[in-house]
Amino acid sequence: MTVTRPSERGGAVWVPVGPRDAAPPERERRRPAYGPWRALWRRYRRDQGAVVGLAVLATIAAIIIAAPLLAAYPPDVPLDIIALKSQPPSWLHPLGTDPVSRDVLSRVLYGGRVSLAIAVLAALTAATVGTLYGAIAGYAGGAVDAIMMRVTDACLSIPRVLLLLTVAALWGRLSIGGLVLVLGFTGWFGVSRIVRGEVLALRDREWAIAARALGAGATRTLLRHILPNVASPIIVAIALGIGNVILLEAGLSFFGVGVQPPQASWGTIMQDGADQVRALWWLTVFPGLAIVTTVMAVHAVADGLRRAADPRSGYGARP
Amino acid sequence: MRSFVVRRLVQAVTVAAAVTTLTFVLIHLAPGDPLAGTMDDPRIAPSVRAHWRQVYGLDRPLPVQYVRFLTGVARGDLGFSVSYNEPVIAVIRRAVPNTLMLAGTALVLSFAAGILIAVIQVRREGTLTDRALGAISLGLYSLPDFWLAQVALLAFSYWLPIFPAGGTIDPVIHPYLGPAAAALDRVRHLVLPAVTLAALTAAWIARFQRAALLDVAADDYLRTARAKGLSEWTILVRHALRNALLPVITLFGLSLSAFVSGAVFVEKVFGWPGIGSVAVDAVGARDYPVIIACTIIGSILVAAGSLIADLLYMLADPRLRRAEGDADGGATSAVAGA
Repeated sequence: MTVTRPSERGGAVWVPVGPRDAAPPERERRRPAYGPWRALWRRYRRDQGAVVGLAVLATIAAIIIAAPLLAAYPPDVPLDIIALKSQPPSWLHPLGTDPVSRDVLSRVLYGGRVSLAIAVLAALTAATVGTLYGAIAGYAGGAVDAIMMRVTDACLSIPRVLLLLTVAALWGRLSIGGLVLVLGFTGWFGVSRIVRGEVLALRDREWAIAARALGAGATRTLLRHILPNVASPIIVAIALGIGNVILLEAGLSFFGVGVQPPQASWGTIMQDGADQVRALWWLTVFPGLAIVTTVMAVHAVADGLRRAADPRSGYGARP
Repeated sequence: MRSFVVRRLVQAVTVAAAVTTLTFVLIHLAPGDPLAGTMDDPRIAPSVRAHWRQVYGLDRPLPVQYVRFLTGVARGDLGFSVSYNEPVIAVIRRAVPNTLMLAGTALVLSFAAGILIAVIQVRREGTLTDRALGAISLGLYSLPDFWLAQVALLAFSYWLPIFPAGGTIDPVIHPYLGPAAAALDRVRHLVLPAVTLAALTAAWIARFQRAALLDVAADDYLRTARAKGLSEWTILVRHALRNALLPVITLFGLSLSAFVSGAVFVEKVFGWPGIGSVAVDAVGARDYPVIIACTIIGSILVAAGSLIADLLYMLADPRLRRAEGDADGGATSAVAGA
């Protein structure tokens, strides 16, 4: 039989508690032979698409990290503005050259560093802000939660691209760091909703109450006890965020408000060929393929993680 | 039910106020003030600069400026555009119908296509068709919107010149066309941008709808339908889809913001004169009032759209009409975590 008693949170929540004199379980509690991360990996491994995605992503990361070894030419230096201007792909320049005679392969390799670094850092920023905001809202509950979530609702209905254009216009040229911050601070609304929902569901579980009863403060309960249980949706959100930011950064850079030339990113390379897409197709096609391959791999990994962490769930939204 | 309507209305107004406040904060966080770009020129005398700052109220204390900004937006006074040389509201008023037409068409197309793809996938679950459609969805979902727009433009207007390359109408012959031909001209211009925008979101909807359909796959009423001897297609479309549609329909309000966002770059590539094109051009021209107005109006359109969508579900689904206990502000926000 189960008795209930009001929790110490003002009696609003009723927590089922076992009978005081319940006999200890007959068997020793069986511990799994591996921890939560191994368990996640075991479930992840079953999904063929996700494993392929992870392999592709690892390869791309390795290629991009090794860019200085692989690139035959400097990415930002015109080679020969007269003889090597706008050359189609050839043996010497496998992806051609751009209108100022820079080697496109080298630019794609180095540009990948910029695009991916921005994406990873912005997604981490967004996840951090969103997690903190959502955790505070969910843990505080009541009016604080209601107000904080109405703010998120309002922010969610701002089209992100327009907001980014506003910031880009007001600040003029954004540095890479500025771009990371702007992309990060416009991408946390979704994460905060997810985290808030989870925290709200977990904050009055027995172990959370036990932690508080043992004298843990709100911060400690949140950081040490509750948030580790929200880790997997946050990781999935980071993965989806990386994919979204790669696409967004490319779009912004393509229209001249993201990464600034001569710095190479996948978006700026396409911008160099934007005026003459038909003639200089290699400037559009190759960075585009790099983006599509990377983002597809990221999404496959995100899907796999989501299925491994929670087999019954839907899919995330585009920005 | 009335309390729900009131709450959603309040929420929509909150969105408008919040966006306006946010843009005001951004304007004042940015280095310089709105006149810095055009006026801070050593050739302009300081007294002239001070005069114009006074005209625009930029010498007043911030709270005063904030109230002026807020009341201005509420009255539809969004400032004066330097690059268009006319009030911003006139520019926006011209652009909004175009964006609504493009995003609206894309919205209908993408939901129709997304649901259709999901139904086919589920009917052929586990087969090559299912996997191929899933892979295509994942691919589309991973495409940069402006890139797809460019490729579509290249493929269907240069290599295979089936569709016109940009704009909403043919500027030369449109005035001389009869009503039917004029309508056809508009449709021909709409096809490429609308299909491009729809393709990106259709993939997302298809993935969502497929998951929703598989969720109800084991339900009892489907077994009953099967026991009655109905065909698999009838069961899928008339029984399973009807029940699996609700979670997807709630995406409707949520996807509006994605549609307006996506429309920005697609409009620009196709030269479609909506608020996206206007916003991108305004960034190039450093025309702050225009881009700020685009953000405010874009957000208000999204908020209004999701309000209408929420009210419509409530009429459509008796369960929502009764579900007043949900303190979370409506069907749209129930899945907003996605």
